[in-house]
Amino acid sequence: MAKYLLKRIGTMIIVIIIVSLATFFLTNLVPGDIVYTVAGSDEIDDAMYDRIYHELNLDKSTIERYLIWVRNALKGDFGMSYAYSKPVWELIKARIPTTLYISIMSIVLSVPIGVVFGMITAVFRKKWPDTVFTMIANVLNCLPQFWIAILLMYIFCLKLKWLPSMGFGFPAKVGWPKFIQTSIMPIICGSLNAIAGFTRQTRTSMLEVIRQDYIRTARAKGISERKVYFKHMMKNGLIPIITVLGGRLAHILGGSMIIENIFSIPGMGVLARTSVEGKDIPTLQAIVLITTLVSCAAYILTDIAYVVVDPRISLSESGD
Amino acid sequence: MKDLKDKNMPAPVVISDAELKRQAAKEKRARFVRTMFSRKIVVIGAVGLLFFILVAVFAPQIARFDPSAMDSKAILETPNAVHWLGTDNYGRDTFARLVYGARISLIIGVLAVAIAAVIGISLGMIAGYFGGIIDMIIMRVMEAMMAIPALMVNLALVAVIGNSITDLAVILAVTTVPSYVRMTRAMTLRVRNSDYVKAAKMAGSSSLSILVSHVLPNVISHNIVQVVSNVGGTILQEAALSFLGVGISIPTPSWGTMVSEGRNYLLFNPTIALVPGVCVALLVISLNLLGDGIRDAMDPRLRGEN
Repeated sequence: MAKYLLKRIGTMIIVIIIVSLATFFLTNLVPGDIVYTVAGSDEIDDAMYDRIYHELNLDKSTIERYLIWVRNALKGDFGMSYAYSKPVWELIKARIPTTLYISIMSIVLSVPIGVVFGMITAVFRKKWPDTVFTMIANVLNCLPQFWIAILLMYIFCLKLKWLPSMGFGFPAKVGWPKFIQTSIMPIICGSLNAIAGFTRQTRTSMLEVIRQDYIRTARAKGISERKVYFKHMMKNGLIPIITVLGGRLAHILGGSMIIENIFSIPGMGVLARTSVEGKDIPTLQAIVLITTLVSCAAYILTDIAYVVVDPRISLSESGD
Repeated sequence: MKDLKDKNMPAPVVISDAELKRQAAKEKRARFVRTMFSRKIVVIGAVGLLFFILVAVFAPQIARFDPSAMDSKAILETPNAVHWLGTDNYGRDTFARLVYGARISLIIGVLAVAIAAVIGISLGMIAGYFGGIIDMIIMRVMEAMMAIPALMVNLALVAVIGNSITDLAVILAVTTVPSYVRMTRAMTLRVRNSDYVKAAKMAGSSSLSILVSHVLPNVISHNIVQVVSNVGGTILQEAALSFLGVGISIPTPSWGTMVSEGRNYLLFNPTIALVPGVCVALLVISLNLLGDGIRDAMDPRLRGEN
């Protein structure tokens, strides 16, 4: 286990190095002279130009700049944002809680609903509940998230006027009622797609379990149907859910970009979009690197969770 | 042997090996098509896809207006006899933009997946067949690509590369490649140690010819399922990018852009924003149903069970 984990972490470090290289060199290809972007204007005198040029270490080679960037990043210093003239880490630190809140609440909402849907489809396989819930899951999977968001907005903000369309903030800032009102639609939107994923995964793995010998044995022993479903089937059938959950956790920081942008939620997703638009390279680099770190950590956690939940899996053998 | 060739004997029906093989293949194909279309939802998917393809092909005949022609006298009209779905804030006909939008979605979806499949399958076969350091490098790069959320990769690449139709196809392909590589590699590993590959190696075939004539036929079938469902996923991705305002450049009617532009006018004419989203969903659902059908038809274990 320890050996496998070390190997996994080693692989992840290589992955992160590749990502950091790719981000750094790709963002250096952004068209246009970066000095003007930093200065915020095309009309600056030569002295100013030279000063910024040196500040950005543009006189050094790209490799040197990469090494300086990595050294600083390891210390938590991602440089100054071009757009906000603030340290990038401060910008990101201020936005992480918001994004985490939306993502985690969406997952919390989608797991029970998806699992219940999946159980229903598996238990009533080939009967009408199966057809109905499978169809719901399929449709949810195909509807664009931004479209659902706009539909909800149209119905609940513009037509019924029940919920505000923007103005999200934590209770300390805007008070509890507003906090809850502004949370409802983003969280529902964020969970719909995940519900589809959990439903499909639960259904597939439950159907696999239904065919197992120990289920037949349990039934033969005269255990009540309900106990068979909830004790024997759920226990084993839910293990593959970890995969879907891991995928969701991996995108906990970068996955809510569309929702944040529609509902004007000041999180990482809005920062990512504005940094692309404003060619705010240090911010973009930091966002990509941090979201990668988080998703790598999530994948390792998923692996550990598998072993903890299912003792049949031995990690040392599964490594290819 | 001589008496066999006696002229009085009826000529034996000689079926050559090639002929047998051809018949078997034909039979297999027919069975595949039968299983596939025996399920209603697959037929619905196929009809839906065909519908969108026809709309895209005959867009100039179907639309009664130029999709980018502005009309200052008809701004934000609600659906009426002239403008079936109303007009947007520039007075452009929503129906015409919708019809032409089908072209953009289908072209980008198909192009991106084609690029991704060709690159992904090649890299996957190379990684699986050669193994060692090549495998290591390819797989680590793929893992790196999968570690970043797709939308973020796309967003960053648009900033670097640009947003023409081909730019977007390439950008969307980048995030799709890893799944093909992984799947192809896994299947190549299975084929690599088979007797016929060993025999081909001993017969002195080059690696390239082994890959093309022995490995490729084995890995291609499973990738077909992925291709069909990936086109749907890519169309969704493109719509999301366009919605964020970093998709295809502005005057081109893209469904994502239409939703994005229309959301400011929800109160005046909700159809501008809502109908394109329905189109995206219907097209993606059609593709997914078709993909599911192909998967079930190819995998006999799945046939009729799920």
